[in-house]
Amino acid sequence: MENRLKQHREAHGWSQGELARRLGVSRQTINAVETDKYDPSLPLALRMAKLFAVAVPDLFIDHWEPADDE
Amino acid sequence: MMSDVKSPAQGKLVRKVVIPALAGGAVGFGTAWGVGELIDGGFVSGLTLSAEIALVAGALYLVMALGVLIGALRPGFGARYLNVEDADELRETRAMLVNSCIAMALWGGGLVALALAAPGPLAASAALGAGLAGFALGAVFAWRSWQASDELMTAVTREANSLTALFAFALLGGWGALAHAGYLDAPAPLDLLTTFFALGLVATFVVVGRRGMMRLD
Repeated sequence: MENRLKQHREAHGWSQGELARRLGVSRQTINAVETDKYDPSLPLALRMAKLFAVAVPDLFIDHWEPADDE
Repeated sequence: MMSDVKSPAQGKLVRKVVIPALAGGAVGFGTAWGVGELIDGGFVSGLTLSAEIALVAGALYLVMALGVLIGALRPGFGARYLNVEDADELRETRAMLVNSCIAMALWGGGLVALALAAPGPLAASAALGAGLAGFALGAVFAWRSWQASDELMTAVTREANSLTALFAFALLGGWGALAHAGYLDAPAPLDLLTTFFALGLVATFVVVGRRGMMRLD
């Protein structure tokens, strides 16, 4: 899933290792999310959003739109 | 004029794909050759074909465990041949890797012990005891490795385990069906174990590849 994790991380001046430490995951996980190889769990996505003080949809972009019932 | 200076992408391709692939191939071939030499040289005799294949599979687990263990304990060296970003990644995941390697070694050793059971050189009771002890102790270290994993690695492990079960159902189920209908010989008991060991490796490789964890970006 497309995401803006890298942009938010870099805006805070953090390395992948620093972000991993703050979130309590491995650097490998941060790298895998940023390069779109892994979609994080809901708890981790929520923690990321809380850390950057943004809403989850501002971090993870889903282009799905509900069907128009009318 | 062609330049012999590698681009960063070429360097990464060599380090992350070519070297691990060559090392893996060499280890696989070397292990099979070494076990073949032991059998041909008369050091290990009386083995059935199933036992010989199990011996190779168990030895492969032992050699892989040793290779990754050395890499985890010597990150600077390990980063040269393991599929990791850099030496720091090995340092950060050391607890998970070390426990995982010990589990693999114990499971491999257990399979080797069972492969050597009579009519091989080990008494059946000793082989069974060593095999079951290896599997049980290996499970303890696998659990410790799981506890030391973060969510990416637990997701990969879960997916690989699920795929192993699916592959085993397809392969052993198909084999069983064909054997039942008289088209094939039924699998020997040891074949069942060896199949699970082999399919576990295949499934892990598939999951890692499918998740793009061998991609260069």
